[in-house]
Amino acid sequence: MPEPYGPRFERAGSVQDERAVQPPEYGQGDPSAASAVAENVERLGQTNPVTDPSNIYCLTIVGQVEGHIILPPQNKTTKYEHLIPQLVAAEQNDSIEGVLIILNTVGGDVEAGLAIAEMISSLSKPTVTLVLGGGHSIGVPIAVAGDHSFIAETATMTIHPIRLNGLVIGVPQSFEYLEKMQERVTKFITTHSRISEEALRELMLKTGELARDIGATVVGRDAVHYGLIDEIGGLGQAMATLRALIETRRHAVAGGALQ
Amino acid sequence: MIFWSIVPLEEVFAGYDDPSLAPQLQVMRVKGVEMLVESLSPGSVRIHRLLSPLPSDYLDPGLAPGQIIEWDWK
Repeated sequence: MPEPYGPRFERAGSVQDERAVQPPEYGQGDPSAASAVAENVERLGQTNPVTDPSNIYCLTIVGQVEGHIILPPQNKTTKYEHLIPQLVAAEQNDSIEGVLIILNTVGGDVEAGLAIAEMISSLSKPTVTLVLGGGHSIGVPIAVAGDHSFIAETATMTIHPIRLNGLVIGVPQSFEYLEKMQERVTKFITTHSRISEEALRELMLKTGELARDIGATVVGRDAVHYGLIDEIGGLGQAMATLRALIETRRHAVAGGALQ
Repeated sequence: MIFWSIVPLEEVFAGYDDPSLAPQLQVMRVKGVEMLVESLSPGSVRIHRLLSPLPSDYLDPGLAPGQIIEWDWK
């Protein structure tokens, strides 16, 4: 099993005991590597991915954020129940020093999205988010949750109000409830970015832009202009910023400021 | 559950009521890890999600949701 992030836990009595903890090095001419690859093909139907010990963990959030309900198969989903333990592992694993989160999402379950956003914002290691393509609806809180956020010039973010719909079972759809649900999301966005509450509300209540709703779509530069996202940029800039944040943290830890 | 997306609900939930499209899931212990799997054929399952308490299992790309695990069916 490839080990990109350092030693794993050894589990007693499992198949892992029989194979060495050292990962097979891809393309190094080691004779045992060939048999390990062949074994992997047999077991998993794929060759070993290139193992490159990296201190940056990359998380992608694509499609719908799937939460409490399994969505029908035509949807591409991000399963939040897999992401959360991955973030726990990233926090715990000493060889991971920073997390890069790449977003291209059309929204999804609000509570699952907020769970991911809160996990990202409470990581002690540096996090950088990069919005490519789209970061709509619940993608907005996730995008602003990192230490530093980037958006590609062509990426868009749709700001529109939360709607309660027929899928909310057994909850009174009163105005107060709606306000509270909207408030919890709005508060997260305004506390984690430089956008003011007035500007956010103005975008949310704009008419004439979206076909079936009120709200606005902000493209790349506008997102930065409103203070929603920190900077225009792509992969290169996001990685450079993340590396700089990792260096800062390393010096802080070495200097005894942390721990 | 509040669903907040720009995709219209009728697109997202098309086929939701059709039981033949819902995956048949079962809990299985594969390679020492508890997981929820969908049986594809005898000797092959597709991982739906992990039920492991060890965070490091979730970092393993071979155990990601959607991966297919096969074994010799003799």
